Amino acid sequence: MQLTVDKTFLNQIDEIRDKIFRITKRILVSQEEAEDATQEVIVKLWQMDASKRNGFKSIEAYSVTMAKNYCLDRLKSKQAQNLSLDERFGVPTTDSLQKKIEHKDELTWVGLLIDRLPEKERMIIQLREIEQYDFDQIASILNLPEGTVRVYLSRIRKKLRKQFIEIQSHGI
Amino acid sequence: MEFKKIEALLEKYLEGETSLEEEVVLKTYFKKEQNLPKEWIQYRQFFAYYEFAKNESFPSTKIKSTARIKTWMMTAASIALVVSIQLSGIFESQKSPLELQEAEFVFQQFQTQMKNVSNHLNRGVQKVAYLDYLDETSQKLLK
Repeated sequence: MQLTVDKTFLNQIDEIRDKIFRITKRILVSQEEAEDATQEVIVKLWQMDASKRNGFKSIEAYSVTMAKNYCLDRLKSKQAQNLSLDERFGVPTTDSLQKKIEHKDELTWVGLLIDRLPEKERMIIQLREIEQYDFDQIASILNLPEGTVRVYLSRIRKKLRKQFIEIQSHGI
Repeated sequence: MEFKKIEALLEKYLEGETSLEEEVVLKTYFKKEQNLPKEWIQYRQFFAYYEFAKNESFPSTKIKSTARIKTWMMTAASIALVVSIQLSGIFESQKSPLELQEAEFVFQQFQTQMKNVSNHLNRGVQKVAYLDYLDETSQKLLK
């Protein structure tokens, strides 16, 4: 068995692994599922021919797209099993959200609010606000026109702001 | 002056029109500014969360190959199993006569109850057999 160790790839992989983990966790909302998904994507990257890997304009963008597709497939198969995603992933309902918020600091509130968004919106927030990708990168990862990404982002930012203000005014 | 600039940037931000550089300006402002207008406080929370979330990394213990973890788990589980069987054997032999008596009593009670249950069941079966008989005679009559 011959292993060609590709130094640049080795260096890239650590950074990519963390990014993929954060993104898959945002989409799947479950630590465990995100760990599995990350392993899966990394293994696929390893198994790829080095020549193919080097042919990509950006291995990072390619990996993120792969991770996104993997997660969406996971979500779809969960839905096919007719399980409510909320139950499955323990996404808090409004009631339990209120309860949770009472005991958590404000940083955690923001995370909870984001995790309650629909999956496409969670992805956009993750890619822009946390991973700080350009609009054209996000557009190509999500396979959407750039303008649509902007519209989405604007809508989500306003929505999150409104929800946050509502929670604060409830005097928790 | 800075206030005006930030206000304009926030407006652009909400419209999804800020560049990454402008968003960095916002993030730094909200991080260091102490006297924020009340209606801006939520922005501080959001930007703080985004920065915090960016530092999350893949749990390092998970980087080992899962196969290796699995073998370890299997080994640990089998050791635990053997130990628990041994231990339960020791405890079994140490049971006092009183405990044994009690166990026997409970067993007897259980036995009588099961007998009762089976009697009732048999009675049910007899009833059903009677129904069969009824059916037969009615068939005869119909003919």
